Amino acid sequence: MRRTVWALVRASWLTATSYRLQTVMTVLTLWVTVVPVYFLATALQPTMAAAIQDEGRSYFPFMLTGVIAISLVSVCVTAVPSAVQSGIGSGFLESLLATRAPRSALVVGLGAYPIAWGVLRAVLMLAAGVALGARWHLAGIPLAAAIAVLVVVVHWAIGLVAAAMIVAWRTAGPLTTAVVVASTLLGGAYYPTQVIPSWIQRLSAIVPLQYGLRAFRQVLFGGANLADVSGDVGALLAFAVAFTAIGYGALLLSLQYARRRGSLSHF
Amino acid sequence: MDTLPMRDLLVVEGVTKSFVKRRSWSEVVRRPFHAEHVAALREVSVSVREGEFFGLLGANGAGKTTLMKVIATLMLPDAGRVSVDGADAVRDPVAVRGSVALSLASERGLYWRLNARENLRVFAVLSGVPDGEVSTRIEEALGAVGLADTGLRMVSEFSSGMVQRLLIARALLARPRVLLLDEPTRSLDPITARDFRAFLRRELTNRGCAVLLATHNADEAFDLCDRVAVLERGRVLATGRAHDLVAAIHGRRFAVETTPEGEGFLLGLVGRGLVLAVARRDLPGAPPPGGWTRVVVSVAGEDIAAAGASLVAALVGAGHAVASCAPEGTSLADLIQAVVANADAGVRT
Repeated sequence: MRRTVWALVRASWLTATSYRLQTVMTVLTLWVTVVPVYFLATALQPTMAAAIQDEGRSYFPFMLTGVIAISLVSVCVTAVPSAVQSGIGSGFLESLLATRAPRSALVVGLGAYPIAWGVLRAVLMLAAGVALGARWHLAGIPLAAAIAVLVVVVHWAIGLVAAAMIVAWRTAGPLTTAVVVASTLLGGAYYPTQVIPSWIQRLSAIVPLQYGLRAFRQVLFGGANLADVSGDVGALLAFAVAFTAIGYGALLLSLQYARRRGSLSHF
Repeated sequence: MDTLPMRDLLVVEGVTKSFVKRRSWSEVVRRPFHAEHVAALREVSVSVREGEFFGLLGANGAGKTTLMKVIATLMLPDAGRVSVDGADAVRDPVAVRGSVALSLASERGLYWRLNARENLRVFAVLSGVPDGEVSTRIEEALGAVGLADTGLRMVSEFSSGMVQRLLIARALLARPRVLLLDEPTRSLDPITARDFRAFLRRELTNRGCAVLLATHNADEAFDLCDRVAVLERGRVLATGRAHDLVAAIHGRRFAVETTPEGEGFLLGLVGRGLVLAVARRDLPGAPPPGGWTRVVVSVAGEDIAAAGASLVAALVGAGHAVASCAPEGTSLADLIQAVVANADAGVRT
């Protein structure tokens, strides 16, 4: 399992870095993203301060984590479906499936590189935030990292469902877009969910990101400990377990369906 | 054939596979839950022994690639059974994948921005090659297909023939027990193709590997393959040595250049043991220089070399000169067409 995942990650890394200028530009783009966020957040600070008391009161780190979270959600939810879609088109998926590598290792390996790269970008953006004056509770970093891992797992698992739909029907429909849009509007990315009307707030209960973001900010910017955020972490954990089981099961079923229909390489 | 070990490594029994037919929009709206099927394989049965090369012949769409995908566990058969080295492809696909390697002619399953070695490194790991052997296997596979000196060149810079060779190297990496090759020399130049066939025969026979190859190439069908099967619209119409199939259809034939008197002598032998039929070769334009005449002679007997020797001895013994005498070749197209025509007429080849 570990060898397979590492081999796929390494190959994706070598492929990505073979586009040398693009690699450099990607890193530069991070700064271009963070600086405008800083100025906008500073301008909105007086308006937002009261609404984000539990999450550190400073709107710049709040908004920066929101931007990073949406970017990460987008990467996680599309990583495996994109790999599967292009793999079906090129016949690469068949090549992988014809090997003796375990299906679980392929599923992890196919999405691992873009997700790892997305996490690295997130860390670099957080570091850039610190350089621009964002303040963290350093003691909260391990717990915040664990929360971030759960957020990644939940959205990677939703991506498995989308990948299963692509294997079976060649389209994931609006699933990935819906997850990103719902996370953006109802996940508390740019404003806390408490400020939205109560009937919409009820909808946000089914958006996993809101639990992750709230806990992450409270730990990293508000100094909360595990007991303070146990409710949010528990909900996130439940989402992670449920979606991983559903996503992996759906993907295995869809592969079986495609083998029966003979459509693994039809695009 | 006597030297071949008798253990069947690959057994395909009564395999049937059909695909759902694509329908028009109006058809889908009128009957949304209706499905029409088109048969790709119909009760196909073949077996390949250790060290044997088995060719699949047939027109495009005959079912060759589908059969390979069923064996490689990429498709599930509707009916029938596939067994590889004792493992059932439906019940134990993981074991089958450990024994089978597939290389498809039209495949693009490579990392185009990586070099040949990096590509093979990924697939060596995926194929379960032990860490300590990965580099050795890669060099061995690249050397076998003549790509050892490609250095850091990305695969996207390779010619189509080089890509084809890399795909075959990838298939060889895991030292499979059963190798499935779809038109393996399609994009290779004639010299590389010849060397590659020699390599396949030498290496894979020694390893006891069973090779199933789909081909449109006469050299492969007649010289490389121990046996062939002719497929037509998913059905196996004939199985056997390619030369035997030709013999069954056309008889054992020799192209003979002799004198007009020699031709008359041969005509006089028809139906009297050795000679079954004599046909004047259709010669467009002027007759050959020197007064030689060319005839195609069908002979009796199982041993083609002995039959040829007897034919020449008979002519020379009767005082007729012989300029040349060689087995008459048959194109793959002629063979397939004849087998299909026989099947259409209800004659088993």
